[in-house]
Amino acid sequence: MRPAVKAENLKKSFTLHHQGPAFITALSGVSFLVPFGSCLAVNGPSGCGKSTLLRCLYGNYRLTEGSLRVSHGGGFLEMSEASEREIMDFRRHSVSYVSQFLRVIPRVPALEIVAEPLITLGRSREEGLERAREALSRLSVPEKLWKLPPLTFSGGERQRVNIARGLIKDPPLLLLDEPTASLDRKNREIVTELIIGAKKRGAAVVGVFHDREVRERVADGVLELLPPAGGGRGFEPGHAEPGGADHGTPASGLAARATSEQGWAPRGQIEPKKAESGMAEPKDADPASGEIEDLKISAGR
Amino acid sequence: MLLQENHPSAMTEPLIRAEGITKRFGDILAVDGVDLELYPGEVLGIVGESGSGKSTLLNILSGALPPSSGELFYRGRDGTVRDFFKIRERERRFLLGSDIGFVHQDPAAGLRLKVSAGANVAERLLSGGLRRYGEARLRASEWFSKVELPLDRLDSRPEEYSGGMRQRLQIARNLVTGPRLVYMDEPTGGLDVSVQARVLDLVRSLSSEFNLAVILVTHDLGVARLLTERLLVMKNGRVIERGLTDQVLDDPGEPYTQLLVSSVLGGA
Repeated sequence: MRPAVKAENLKKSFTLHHQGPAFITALSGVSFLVPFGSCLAVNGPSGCGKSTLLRCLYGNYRLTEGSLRVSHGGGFLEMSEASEREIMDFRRHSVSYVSQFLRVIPRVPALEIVAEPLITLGRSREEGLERAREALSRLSVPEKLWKLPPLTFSGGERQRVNIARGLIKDPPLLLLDEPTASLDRKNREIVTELIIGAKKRGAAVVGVFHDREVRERVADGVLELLPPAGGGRGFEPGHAEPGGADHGTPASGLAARATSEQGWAPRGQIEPKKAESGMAEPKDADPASGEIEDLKISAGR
Repeated sequence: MLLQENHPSAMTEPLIRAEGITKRFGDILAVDGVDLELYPGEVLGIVGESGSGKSTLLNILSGALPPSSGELFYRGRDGTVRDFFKIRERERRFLLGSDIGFVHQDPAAGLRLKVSAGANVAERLLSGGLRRYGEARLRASEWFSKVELPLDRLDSRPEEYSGGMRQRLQIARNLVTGPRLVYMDEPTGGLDVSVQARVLDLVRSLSSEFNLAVILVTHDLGVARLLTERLLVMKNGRVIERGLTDQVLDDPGEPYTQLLVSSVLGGA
């Protein structure tokens, strides 16, 4: 399976100049692979850097260190070196990011918010609006709300507008930050089905799923981020947990699965630890260099 | 960096490219070596506090103020690239009357208050060579609708308009000639919040509908967040930080940018 995302040794830290300065490391030593057609769930306690990781994938946060390659335009875009315009183009064509909160624009109705990513891609306004109507009805957003700006919507309604917007262009990479957090059972089910549907169409999904049931249904692998030690939010690196000792099941995770496919993995670079993955190593891979120490992939269910 | 070529983003060329724009007023360095690029259809924001040089920069780019040094490469409709500061005055005036617009913070600076609103819009068309007055009036009335001004006020003078209406009129006056580039200096600066939202929405929808390239100067980070794709942060005449708008506002690196972002009530 071709990878959609290759992350190696990601680090994101912040310097708060007016608070000391304070130095905060939100992510460190995080490595993973996400093949097309699969979903990686990012898991861990509050403050461990889950949202930070998604923001790095979207290019919202600029990486401090590491290599993050995302599939774009028939090749890979190295996010740590991408120009502003390359990231703009990546966002337009190759990724959707469903954040926890919908950014409401005054006077812009829900229908237009949902249609916008398609229209930006160059599709006609009519087609954009038609697809937006389909998406909103699929997510059971009442029709009487479509023409209103979501300013007055409930949390769940806003979230569904946000999801409709994220899914409308059917992007090859989907980033989901707690997409079901404020949804009732019925809508949670619909969103779960939509995520599974996106995977079946070949999309790679990286998501934070608070809801265990949803996570277990959609995820093919879990990236476990460690809690920040020392109490403060993110004051210690929320790095990926090394080893897989506490999980009895052999990892059927993404990196393990991905590296068992040959022909795409740069040899010896993105290979997870053999002992951890529990999978046969690629026959001709060179295990000597660049093992990803911190890679932790546990079984998805 | 793109690891493989054959890629759509490599296609377009910038509409303008400014290099080393510098302006001295006596001993004061108001603008200090600013480089920027603007691509067709792109909205670039310039933020910074009063006195940071952002309005001076805009006045230089739009040809209202000569720079002390620096170059501004302008890609014409025919694809030729020339230094905007070196082309003949007559040609520059022609570009400023057709291909380039300027929306001032104070509409009075961009309008003729004692001439009818319709004539304010039609004037740029007529000075751009359109002969038939009837057609100019028709185009003016079309733009009245586009900026949501009531048609029955076409013959009123802008001095009888409210601030928000004047600003929408100024936008219509600038866009009627179909420019590719519009400079905007705090376009919602003097407006009430309720009126502001409407003007911002207008700028947002028109810039996307007509694929306008816009350089927008503002001190309001909320406006920058709403309208711009890329952002330059200026301080003491220099660009101290640049990036995608959401990168600069969500992940500011420079001390000054962090101060700016953290000073916004309720977040931008």
